[in-house]
Amino acid sequence: MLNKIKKILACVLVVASVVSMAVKAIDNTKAKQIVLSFWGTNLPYQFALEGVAEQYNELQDEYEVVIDKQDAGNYRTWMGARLAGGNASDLLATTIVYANTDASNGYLYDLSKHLNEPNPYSESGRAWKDDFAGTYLTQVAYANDTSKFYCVPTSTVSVRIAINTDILTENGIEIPTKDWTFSDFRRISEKLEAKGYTALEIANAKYINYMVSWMIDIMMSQLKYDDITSYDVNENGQVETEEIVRAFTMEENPLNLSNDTDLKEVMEFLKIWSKYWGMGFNSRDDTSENFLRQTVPMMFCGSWSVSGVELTLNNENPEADKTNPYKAFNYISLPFPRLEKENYIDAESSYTFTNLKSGLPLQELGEPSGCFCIPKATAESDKIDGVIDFLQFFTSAKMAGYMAKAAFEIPVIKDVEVNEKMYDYLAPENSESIRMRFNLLNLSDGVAEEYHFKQVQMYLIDEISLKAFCKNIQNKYLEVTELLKEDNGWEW
Amino acid sequence: MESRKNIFKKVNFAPYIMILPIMVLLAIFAFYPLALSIIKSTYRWSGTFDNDTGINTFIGFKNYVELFSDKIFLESWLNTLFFVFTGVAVNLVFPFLCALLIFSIKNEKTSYRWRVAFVAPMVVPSMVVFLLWQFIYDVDVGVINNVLKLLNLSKVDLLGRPESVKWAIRFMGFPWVGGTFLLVYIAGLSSIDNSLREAARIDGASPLRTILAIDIPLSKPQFKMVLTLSVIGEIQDFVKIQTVTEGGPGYSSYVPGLYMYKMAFDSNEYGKACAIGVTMLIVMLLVSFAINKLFKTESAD
Repeated sequence: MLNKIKKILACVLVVASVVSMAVKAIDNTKAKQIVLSFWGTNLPYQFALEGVAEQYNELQDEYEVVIDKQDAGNYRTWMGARLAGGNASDLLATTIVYANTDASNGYLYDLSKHLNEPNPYSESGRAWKDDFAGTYLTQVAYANDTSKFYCVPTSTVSVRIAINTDILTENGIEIPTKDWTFSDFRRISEKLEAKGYTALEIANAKYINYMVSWMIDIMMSQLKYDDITSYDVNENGQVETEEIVRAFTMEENPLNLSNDTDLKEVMEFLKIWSKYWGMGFNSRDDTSENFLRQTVPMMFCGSWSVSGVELTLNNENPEADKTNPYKAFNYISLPFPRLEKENYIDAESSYTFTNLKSGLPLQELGEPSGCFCIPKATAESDKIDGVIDFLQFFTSAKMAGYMAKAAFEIPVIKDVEVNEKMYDYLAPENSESIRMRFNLLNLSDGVAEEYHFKQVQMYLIDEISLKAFCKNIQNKYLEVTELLKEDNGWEW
Repeated sequence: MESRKNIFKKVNFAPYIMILPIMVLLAIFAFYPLALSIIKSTYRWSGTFDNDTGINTFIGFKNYVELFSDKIFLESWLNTLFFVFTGVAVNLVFPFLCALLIFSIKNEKTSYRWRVAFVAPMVVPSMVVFLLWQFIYDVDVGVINNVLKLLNLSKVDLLGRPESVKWAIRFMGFPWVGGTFLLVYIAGLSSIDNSLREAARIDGASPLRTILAIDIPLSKPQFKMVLTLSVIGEIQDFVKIQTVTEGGPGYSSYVPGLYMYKMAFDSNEYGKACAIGVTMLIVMLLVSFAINKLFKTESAD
């Protein structure tokens, strides 16, 4: 009996082995799988990514692109561990800071060679790099060697103030236009506050939703316009890492934020303004909930939030009951209100900026976003051609247009139409991209960025003085820039 | 040759062979990382094992020197001190009181049901609990602020103010009756010889007197265990802080574990992160040693 069972088991094992070998042989003739990993909770973005993969898979048989969504909270840890272990996905969503860090560890593949060649999916015939509009590509160049590119962007982001125009109309308030000033904004806010509304909400709880940093950069760019121009040594319209390091560490007249009038004024102004942001901006992750429930008429809104707002409003409930409290309404998104020399705060006070020049173009933030990188392990595999090919397909004008329509993305590729809901998020006329960030961003050090964010939080809630804030920021900048200078051997 | 054979015959290798796999696994997954982190804490290390790329420079004790002059690191330890003291207090008191109540139930079935009722919430992922509390504290839609609104009182931003954030975090998990500690206390109470309680009752001791004179002193080994685990747990824990406040506002709720995590994964300063980890390890070892010295369980026995 036992022998019989042994024989049967042996037969089963032999058959299983043969079948598995046959399956593997058949599998080898199948398309090679390319895994694209990204993080987020944005459903339209996920569906659009799947749509891009589907279109690519239909186009050719050699590769099959699979979309893999990862948990947003743990993505960086997951990605870092996979890159270090050499078993990361073939294409990884990343940020400029992450890409710089991972590139310096030798985890990523340099795309510069391919960027100098034409994109086969582009009809322009120019080099792939020239398909990118403005400075979106140069902004993602490797911090330590700007001739190298360890990631490419697929979209950009901008920030606006979203305004519920129905509430304004109901309360007899004139709807502002794109060229509104801070004084206009405050006068509208006062009228709303008189009606019992919290006029504006901002999220500033965690450094991933560090909304105040955008304001600092927009204001600093206006106040320090001439200085920033002088820091842009290579005159490419962007003050890159090396130029920032130079600005802080050069021997003659280095940038010193500890006694910088402009920074002090910006922070003072923000502190006054923060009184009107509504309680809880330092503990709030998101402002769209109150905006969608129409309890707050204005919110500081990133372009990435539009898809969520639209998704909710498209599923609105005319009754707005407990099962679905969202009722459709009209809204517009306006650029950050322009600063003037003298700005109205309330009937008794105003704020004057010492160095503000009039007639400057509006400073707009348009940071490259939706970046993707290729791990070195993939580059050494037989899938690299497929991964590059897919990335070129993904950044073609056709797919950029598809992403813009389906996921409310703002494209970084030239001559692409955007979703009409995103028109308000495109750079307005008489505006230019912000050239320098003042919050330690993109200097390859997340803890330093977080330090800036937390210093701002503490200053806004009176935990540290303005003098201490400026001193601490200057010291952190010096610490980070000195280290970068030493690590890269930069000399001027 | 003969004598060696005899030695092999005399020594029983079976236990060593059986223990070998677990020792190998421990060496790979516990001792090696521990040794590596101690070594790497003396390096400026960007986390790569590839010698051609990244940073891997021996700097001696520079990481430690920098840490002990780093205000954030010192503030994070002060915050940890708050969490350790309050955490130990709630873990020593509340699960023990609950264990006493459950232990006093005479009906076995009812007692079992209560035990299950308190242990069952352990299956709820802690992340869900943290997010639930975040909603409870929300300025606009949170329960607390809605109750205050009903009472015509002004709103409170418990997670957004430095003076309240640590208390708000500590209050998460109320009524602090963790299943593990509850079971430890119940096991301790069950192991006390009932004849002692009977004798006390015959001598006219009140229930409170019995608890104070018998249950608490004879549960000393359990208190010691809970104390040690609570201290270690509070020093190590940063997940709820990372989820709810990310250490904010400012550094009001920042803890060393969170700093270590950020230093490693946000800044790639793995060497400094190792130094933070080693510092935490030393503190935990010292505290555990002190607890062992202070609470000698033999005397309780």
